[in-house]
Amino acid sequence: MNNIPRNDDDQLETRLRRALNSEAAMAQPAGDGLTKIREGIDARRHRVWWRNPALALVAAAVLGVAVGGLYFGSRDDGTTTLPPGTSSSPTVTSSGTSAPTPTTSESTEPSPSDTTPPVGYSGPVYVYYIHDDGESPRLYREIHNGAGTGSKAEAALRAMFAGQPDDPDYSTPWDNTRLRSYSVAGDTATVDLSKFVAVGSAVETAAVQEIVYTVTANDPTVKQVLLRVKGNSPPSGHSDWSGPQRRAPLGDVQGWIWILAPTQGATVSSPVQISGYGTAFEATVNWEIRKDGVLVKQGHTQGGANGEFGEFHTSVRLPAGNYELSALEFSAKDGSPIHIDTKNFTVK
Amino acid sequence: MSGTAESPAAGQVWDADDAVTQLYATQYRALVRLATLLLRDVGAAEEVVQDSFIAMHGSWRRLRDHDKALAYLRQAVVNRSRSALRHRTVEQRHAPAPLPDHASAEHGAMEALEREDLIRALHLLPRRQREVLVLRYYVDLSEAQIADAIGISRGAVKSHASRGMASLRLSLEQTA
Repeated sequence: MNNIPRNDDDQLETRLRRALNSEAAMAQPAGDGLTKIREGIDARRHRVWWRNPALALVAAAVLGVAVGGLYFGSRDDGTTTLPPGTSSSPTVTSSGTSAPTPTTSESTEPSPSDTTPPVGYSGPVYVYYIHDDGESPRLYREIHNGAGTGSKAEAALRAMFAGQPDDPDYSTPWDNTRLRSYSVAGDTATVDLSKFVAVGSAVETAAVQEIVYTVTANDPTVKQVLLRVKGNSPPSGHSDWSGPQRRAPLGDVQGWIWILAPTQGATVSSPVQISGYGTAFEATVNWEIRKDGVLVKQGHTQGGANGEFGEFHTSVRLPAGNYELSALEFSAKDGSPIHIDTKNFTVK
Repeated sequence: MSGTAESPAAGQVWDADDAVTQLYATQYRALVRLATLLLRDVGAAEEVVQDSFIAMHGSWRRLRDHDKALAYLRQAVVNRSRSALRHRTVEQRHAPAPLPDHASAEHGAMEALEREDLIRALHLLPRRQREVLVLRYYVDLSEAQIADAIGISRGAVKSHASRGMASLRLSLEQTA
């Protein structure tokens, strides 16, 4: 490439190099990339394993690398994607020095999902639940399997109304509530319910946001949600919910500290990858691991600082056994543990 | 961005999760920038890179090696950027959302103008020429690595590069 016989090439190369570098320097990633990647990986695992984990493990062992291809059947946004490498043979010889070739065949690329909205979404969905951290009811998110005859957001709402959170600390005040209908027009989703929550003002606000966050998490084109109860404005003794509701700011409603991994009830190998999302005073997120109620390890890591939500990651070596992980911060006021999220998990 | 990441210490083997964490720490930003240069859209670039990491995780069994994984990520980012571009509407492609112009304050208006002209000209090039030039002059890949990343021969890399440079020169002369 350096043998192009033009005198001004060096100059043009230098200028191009400089232009590309300053153009690239303007691209600042949002900062939650690793969380999104891990969610994507989890969603895919969920997709393959949720029906029967034992069977899936056997299948993985029998099929070897071929099962890698199955993961790509569906992403959490409901689109179908082919991975790089799908088209290449799963048995890769070790003679080549280059990586397996991602698919370059244009005909194998998926068609964009927005031209054909998914009918009867079945797959992982984001479901928000409520947990009172001692100060206020706040939103926490889990990945569940959704299914039904409607869109992904509708499947998520059905999972929320009909199912149970994996984490026993979480709950939803929408008990015995049924989704009568779900529709989207423009950026507004209309959610018609069989009944409204009968709770205090703070929990009611959280309950409305639970629906708004769940819908918008599963359908990013929806910006606001119009709540209806049997076709009418929600009968609230606290607030006026007759207009469309948007997501409240994270700092108002979202759990201060979420543990994203391990998930509740997960079986993992050591070193255990711990990750979460949250904000804490001076970004210090503390973690504690207990076995049979006895503290066995603790430490701290950096999340988002002082109201800015960010990821945190750490890893811990643990012998096989059952554990409880807590992520929390110590109150800047009196040092007491606050904003606690906990997960039980097993190290195999 | 090549060769700067730390490989696992001797005797230590990465599993797929480790690989994602480590490569994210060392390569994510550079890959997002690569995709941004191809797409002119940071948000879309991030999605492309995230999807590439997820795919890399699924293929880790066949990679098991830092350098192969990085080569795989680059291939995936180029392929997926191409696919993302194809799915954009025609109007969007011809009027890409400009990036926020932070650099102009630092570098002076003339340089910003020239950069903008060059980048605009770059995006008017045929797709493969643009990919070759970005991989050559931004990522600093060798001809062989570029051939690998795009899935073309080294000879084709050479000819795309020289045609691309010739077109850039021509369009700069026309705008000058």
